[in-house]
Amino acid sequence: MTARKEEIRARHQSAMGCDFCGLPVYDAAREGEPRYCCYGCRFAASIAAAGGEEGQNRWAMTRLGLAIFFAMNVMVFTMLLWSQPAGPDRVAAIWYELARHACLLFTLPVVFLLGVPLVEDAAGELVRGRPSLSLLLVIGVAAALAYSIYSLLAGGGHVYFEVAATILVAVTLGRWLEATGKLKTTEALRGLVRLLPDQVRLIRDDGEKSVPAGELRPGDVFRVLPGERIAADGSIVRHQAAVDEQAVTGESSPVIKHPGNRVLSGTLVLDGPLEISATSAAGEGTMARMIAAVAAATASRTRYQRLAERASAIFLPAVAIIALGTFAVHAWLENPAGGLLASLAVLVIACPCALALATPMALWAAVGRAAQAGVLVRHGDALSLLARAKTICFDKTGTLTTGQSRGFDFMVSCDADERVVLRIAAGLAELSAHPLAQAVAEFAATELRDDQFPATSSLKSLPGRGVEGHIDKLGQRAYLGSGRWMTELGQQWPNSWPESTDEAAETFIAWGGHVRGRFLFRENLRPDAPAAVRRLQRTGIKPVVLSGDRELRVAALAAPLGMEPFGELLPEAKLAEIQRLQQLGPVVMVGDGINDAPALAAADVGIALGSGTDISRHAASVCLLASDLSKLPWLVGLSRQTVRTIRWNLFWAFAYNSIGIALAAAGWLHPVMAAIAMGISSLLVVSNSLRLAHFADTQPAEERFQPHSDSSPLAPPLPFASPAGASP
Amino acid sequence: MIELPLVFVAGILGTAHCLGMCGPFALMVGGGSQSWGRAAARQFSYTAGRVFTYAALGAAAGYCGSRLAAMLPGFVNVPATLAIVAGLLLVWQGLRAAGWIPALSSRAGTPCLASGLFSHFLRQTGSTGVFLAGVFTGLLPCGLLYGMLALAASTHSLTLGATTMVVFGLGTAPAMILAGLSGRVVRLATRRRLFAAAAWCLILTGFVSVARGVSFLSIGNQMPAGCPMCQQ
Repeated sequence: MTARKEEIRARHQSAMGCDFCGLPVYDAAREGEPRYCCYGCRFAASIAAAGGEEGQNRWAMTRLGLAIFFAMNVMVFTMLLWSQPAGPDRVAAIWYELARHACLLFTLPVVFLLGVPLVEDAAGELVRGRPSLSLLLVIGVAAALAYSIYSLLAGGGHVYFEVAATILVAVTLGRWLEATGKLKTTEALRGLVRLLPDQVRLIRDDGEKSVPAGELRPGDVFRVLPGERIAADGSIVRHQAAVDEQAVTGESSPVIKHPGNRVLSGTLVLDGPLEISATSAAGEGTMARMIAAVAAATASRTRYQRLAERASAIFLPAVAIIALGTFAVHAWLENPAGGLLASLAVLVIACPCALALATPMALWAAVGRAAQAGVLVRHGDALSLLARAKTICFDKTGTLTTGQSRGFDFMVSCDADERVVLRIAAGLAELSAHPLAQAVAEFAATELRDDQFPATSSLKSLPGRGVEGHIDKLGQRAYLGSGRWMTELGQQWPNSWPESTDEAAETFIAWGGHVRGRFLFRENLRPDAPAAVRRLQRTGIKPVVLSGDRELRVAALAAPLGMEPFGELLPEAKLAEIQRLQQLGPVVMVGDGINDAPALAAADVGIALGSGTDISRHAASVCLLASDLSKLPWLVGLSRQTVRTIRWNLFWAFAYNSIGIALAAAGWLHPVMAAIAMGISSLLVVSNSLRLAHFADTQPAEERFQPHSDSSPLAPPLPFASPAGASP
Repeated sequence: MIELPLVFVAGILGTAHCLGMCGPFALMVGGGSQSWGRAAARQFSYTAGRVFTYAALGAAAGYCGSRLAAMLPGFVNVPATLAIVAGLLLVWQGLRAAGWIPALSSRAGTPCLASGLFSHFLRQTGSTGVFLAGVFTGLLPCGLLYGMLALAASTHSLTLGATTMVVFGLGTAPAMILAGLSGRVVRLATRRRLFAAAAWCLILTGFVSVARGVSFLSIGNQMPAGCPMCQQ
């Protein structure tokens, strides 16, 4: 790993995480020393540590392997002891004594191999002023060992070497597996870091030069070859190419990028080289901000986590007291050996790991999975709130619709030729960038089935009114724009048209003193909106449109989707409406993140759309990097699965600990069984959470709409591309 | 224990099945070393590790069998039942190996947490790592192994259980060592034929075990009768 990636990793981890798995560690570590969330991570880190200490790594690994080998021997000899109690037979007695000594012989290496690191861990924690479970385990194992050696030397009495050996192996193995599992849950995130290239081809006056990515500064121009990933955010200076932005936006179809278009760090250039002017330094682009945002989400404590923390705080003292009590009672009622075994079982079975892991493991896995799909969850609580949401509010323009309009009706005054009017309107509209003008041109091209529009000169665009220009064929000026402007210009209205309603936007075309034609527009619905809304309804969430637009237009759009419309809402009214809906349960607000920031902030969960470039600027707690509404029902599914997983984990951890401790305190649980159960418990929590990392892309094929490259805000503007079949 | 030679043969032929699963490990064991002597030493310590684990597992199985028999005296004929279960398991394995029962599709994407541990040992140069890799190979899930362990449990004796598994392990040794040393000692067509032979051998071992169990049951609490086909 290069220094820069180390730096990014260190930066996003220094905020919160364990140096091995990246899971949050909530206490302050000393400056400069590695910090681990558990003994398992410390051990695993010593195995996985790269470079330099090759010999030591191998030794840590070999230590575990050899310990397992020796422990298996101890078990075989112990089983021999169990199956052949010391009989009157002299030979059998000799065999019996031999087996007892063999047990000691094979236990000692295990103690040195695994006991020493455990003692070091316990001592380290103690020096930092924290008593740990490792300390209790060390005391317990030492006691078992001491008792067994005493009874071996004194001749007579049981030996419990297998208990000491198995506990050491099971504890180390269990924690190591646990750490490895934790590493897997954070893999999605580390995968993102790995996407950033190490080297960039910097273009200077004196030619091209490959330099470490860290040297790239905003304003530098660099070249990216096909098949390479872009090191920093920037805009294209030369050439064009298809860029795969899946890593950042989750959008699977490549986007063609032209000079002037923005490109994002971490995205993949598919064909043709690109020359890019960097707008961010290499470590500070979109990708780095994404990683930081996701990391912050997991560092934020959720409701469930606070619950687990309160439980953990009293956990250790409680376990110590129960263990002591168990020893005292059993030693008094039976014998010291029985007390020792029972209290040791209490210490072993009491596994705060399951408790402490229950929430962060599931959360990390879910947040990482969402990030893979282009959904950035910026606060852990957002997932649990989303799972309980009752209402989901959509902003209209730019959220349910693409923000572009489409002509759906056209009428001419009775004396005008429809085709002539269309052609002239299109001639004006073609040269304007206004969305309605573009919709006129597009409408005309569809109706006329060609785009041979009349030549236009001295075109003038009047903001808020329309466009005017000289149509050479007519020999006079023509006007395309709002009704109010037509009246201002003194153009005469035909009598035959019906009254204007608010239902649709309108544009008029006029020349020679008469208004000749009228276009009616409807906003383009996002192609994935109907299916997404339908699926949200099926999950039991009520979809609602909140819009500042005219009531009738909102209703016209919402009705076919089966959504409740609220129109003509001023920003304050939007807030009030959200607060009213909040009485029914948590409210989700989906918006484009720019003009509805207050609503996004007021809702329990704010989801901002198409925020690929700007994830840190707005108030939303969830960002859909691509404007893909079908991610919404998916995210609801993921959040519900996450909450289910967390609840199951917590239930399991609490149940396991309380039942296990009760059994152990009663003396009904052999320490070896406890050690095995402890490992299984942690693994259950880890693997249950890992299932979230494999949460499926649940989009039934029949509901999948065609890819919508044109609705992505990151895509270049394609003036005439309107999604086909988007009408509700 | 009249089956011991049969177990050995099952081990030998079973390797055809094992080579598919564990062959790559054997190849990795041989991969790192230059001279033949060193390569052979690594192969032998790998096999020793594997056989050791089999022995320990066999001892545990035998012990569990004996405990089970002691706990349920007269209630069920434990060795007989275990022998039948083991036999059925082996027959099942044989039928699967022969391709007559479709293999259960294992759920893809299940993360194997131990894989790191495993490859780590295999890549080490010394013999200790290879030995430990062998120890862990013995713990890999394997249907054939489970069948044999059930057989070991049916001996209801610690030592006999361990012996069964050692014999089985030694049976698997020659092909694994050869495969590891030479890279590919058996060609694909040969391997396919061996697969078929192994399947039949498993089915045969299974039937013998079932028959032994059934004969125990019918005889009652008398001494184990051994292989009914081999009785005079």
